[in-house]
Amino acid sequence: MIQIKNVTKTYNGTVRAVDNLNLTVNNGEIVGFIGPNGAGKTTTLKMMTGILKPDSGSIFINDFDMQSEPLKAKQVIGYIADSPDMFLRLKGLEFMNLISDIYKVPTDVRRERIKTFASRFDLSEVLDKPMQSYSHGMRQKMMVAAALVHDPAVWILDEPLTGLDPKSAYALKNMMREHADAGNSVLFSTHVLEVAEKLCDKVIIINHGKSLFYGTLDELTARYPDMDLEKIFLEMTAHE
Amino acid sequence: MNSYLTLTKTFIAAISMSAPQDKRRKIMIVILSLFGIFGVLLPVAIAVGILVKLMTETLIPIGCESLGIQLMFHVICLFTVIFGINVIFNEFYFSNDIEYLLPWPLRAYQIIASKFTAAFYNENMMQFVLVLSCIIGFGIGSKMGILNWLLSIIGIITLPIIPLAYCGILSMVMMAFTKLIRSKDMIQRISVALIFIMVIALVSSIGFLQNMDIDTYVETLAAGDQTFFTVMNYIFPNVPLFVKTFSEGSFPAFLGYIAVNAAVITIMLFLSEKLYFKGVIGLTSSDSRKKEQDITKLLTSCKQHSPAYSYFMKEVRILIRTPVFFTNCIAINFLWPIFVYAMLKIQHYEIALEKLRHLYAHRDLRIQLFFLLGIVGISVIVAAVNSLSSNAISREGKHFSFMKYIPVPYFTQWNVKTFVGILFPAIGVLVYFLPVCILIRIPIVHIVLFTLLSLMSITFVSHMGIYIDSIQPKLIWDDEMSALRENYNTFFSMAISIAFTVVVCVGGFFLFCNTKISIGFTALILVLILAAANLVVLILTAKSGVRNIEEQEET
Repeated sequence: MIQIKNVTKTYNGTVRAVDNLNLTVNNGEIVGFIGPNGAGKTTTLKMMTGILKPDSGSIFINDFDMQSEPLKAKQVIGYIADSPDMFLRLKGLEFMNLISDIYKVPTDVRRERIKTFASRFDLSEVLDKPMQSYSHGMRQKMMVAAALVHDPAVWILDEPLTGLDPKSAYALKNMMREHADAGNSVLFSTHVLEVAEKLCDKVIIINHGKSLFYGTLDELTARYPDMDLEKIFLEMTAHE
Repeated sequence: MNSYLTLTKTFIAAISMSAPQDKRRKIMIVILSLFGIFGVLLPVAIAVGILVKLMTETLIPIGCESLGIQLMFHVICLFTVIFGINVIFNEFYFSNDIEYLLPWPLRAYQIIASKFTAAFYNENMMQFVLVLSCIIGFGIGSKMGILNWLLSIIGIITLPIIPLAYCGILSMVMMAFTKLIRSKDMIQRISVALIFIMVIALVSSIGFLQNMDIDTYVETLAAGDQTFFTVMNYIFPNVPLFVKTFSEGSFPAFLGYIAVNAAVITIMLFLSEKLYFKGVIGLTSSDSRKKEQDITKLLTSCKQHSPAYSYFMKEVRILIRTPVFFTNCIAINFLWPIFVYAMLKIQHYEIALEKLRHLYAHRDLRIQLFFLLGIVGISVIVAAVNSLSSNAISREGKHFSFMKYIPVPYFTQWNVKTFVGILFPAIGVLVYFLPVCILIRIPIVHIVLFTLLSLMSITFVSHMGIYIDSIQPKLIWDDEMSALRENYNTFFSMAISIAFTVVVCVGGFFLFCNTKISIGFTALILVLILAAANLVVLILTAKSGVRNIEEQEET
């Protein structure tokens, strides 16, 4: 479960990236984070993961306060950053082991999980290669696998489908659904409205750091009866 | 012209370090900068100026007063080539912006002109200070007139153009005609190996100075034997023309200086049109071939370790597998004996094992002091020069956020990085020093003491380096070389380390020579000083080092 209460973040004392944001992602839910470029999505996700510190407000991950219990909160998060170009000098398997060690995944469990991810994302052939030699999509798949190797309860994913081939994107979407159905929470940012429409239980639309809407897709479409999601999004963000 | 200016501004902006946002960090950066300027740059500049003044005054009676400054300029040009070649290689061929530049409708000469200017801007600071101090020393020594002072301005800024252009030409020729080597890593390794060979050759050649002193050299010059200058003037024709410009106030030499610079730049840009795209297209990062893997077999290597161990292995693997980090941060730890050898040769010391053994066995206090202060000096300098710790956080670059979102305490990550900063210089120092101690038959108690002093010195530098880097790490860089060379923190750390070495070693030497304290007491004082220095950096780390990481945002 993710709870964001009255969170505000300002850069350089002038640019307000997130403005008094409130959000709750309950267990069993997939929530899509939608907004135009520069709306504050990545800043919010980074505050949730402890990368950035909010100026005010509080963030709870599975009831752990990110400010006062950061290690406990981080332990239950699986985070995929917006760039997959990380530690490219390491081999895929070394990277998976690094993440497994950091999250204290026992040997047997990690072997099984790595094997499963390798099969689902077609990574078996490259695990022993430096990630520098991977394509962008292959790196993204490795990031997804590594982020989930410790079976975290809370998934926070920044544009996770970018660069994935159709098979891997399909696999990840299924995994997100399975994970939520098992009583966990998934929050992911996306620009692809169709994905949000098909996958999310709820969406949050933000612009200029402020929440414009938070609720189910049915509630959203009920507000704008004759419009599809794309038009609703354009309408909402244009009038901001 | 517009493309050139726009590109140049972009490249220069890309290599600049961002300023800290909060007041506390700003103050610390100002303090470090002032220390760097007044504690290191200025004393070096004054020392160089005085040296040139003395050389000028010595050479006036034989009518060769400008040869001293000419020698200095040749040395500056030579070192610019040695240290510039890797910078130019990185700027021209390995920076990440290349793949964005290539599809643009730009001519090769436009890219090269802008990249060369950016590299020149970045490399020029130290040369600028040295050239300026040489001219001031010469001007005072030879009582130069106002016109000569004015004429000297042009070369203060432009002297490194030709050596850097040579690096540019060399890199383009090498890249265009080594078609078989398409791997960036391999080329980086070759270019760095070239630098090491050049440095070793240069330092080893100092051996020839063993039987030479300034009087005999002046006599040689007076007798008309200027072979060295003849050769060097062919290699760096800008130097004699520039020296003639301001020492004699010669306008033809002034015009010649401008012409020769323009000619070399034109040649470089002309060659870039012929060679640059030929060399830069098709470079790959590494082998991307897939091969069948038996995953079950592969997974048998997976074994749980502690987060700290795994984090340590991550650091080591990246350092060893990245050619720039490997050469600048790891291999450099093992090169110090060459420099010690060169320094001893310059000072006419005979390095005979038997003699050292005899002196040590007979409790020669000077040799004991030499070992005592030497191990501290070498350990501090080796640990500072490798930039392992002063670059430890900057090295994370765009992955800095990784440090923040993983559930590993910052203090643990800090300590792992400190340990890496201790491990390699400690191996580099002790792998030579301990066998030498054993060969000289130094008593075991002394060996333990030297090892303790070495480790304390390295620990101090490692903690201090990371602390400095934590104040304002350089997290935005295009290639690994930029993370090292364009990072002021490595300079600040080196400046403090050099100052520390000078104070401790020179202070220790004078204390021992001018008082009646015993060698044992001197050793005790050294241990206490190093313990206090370590305590200070540990308090700083505990007080604000970890907070610096916690509060550091990505840009």
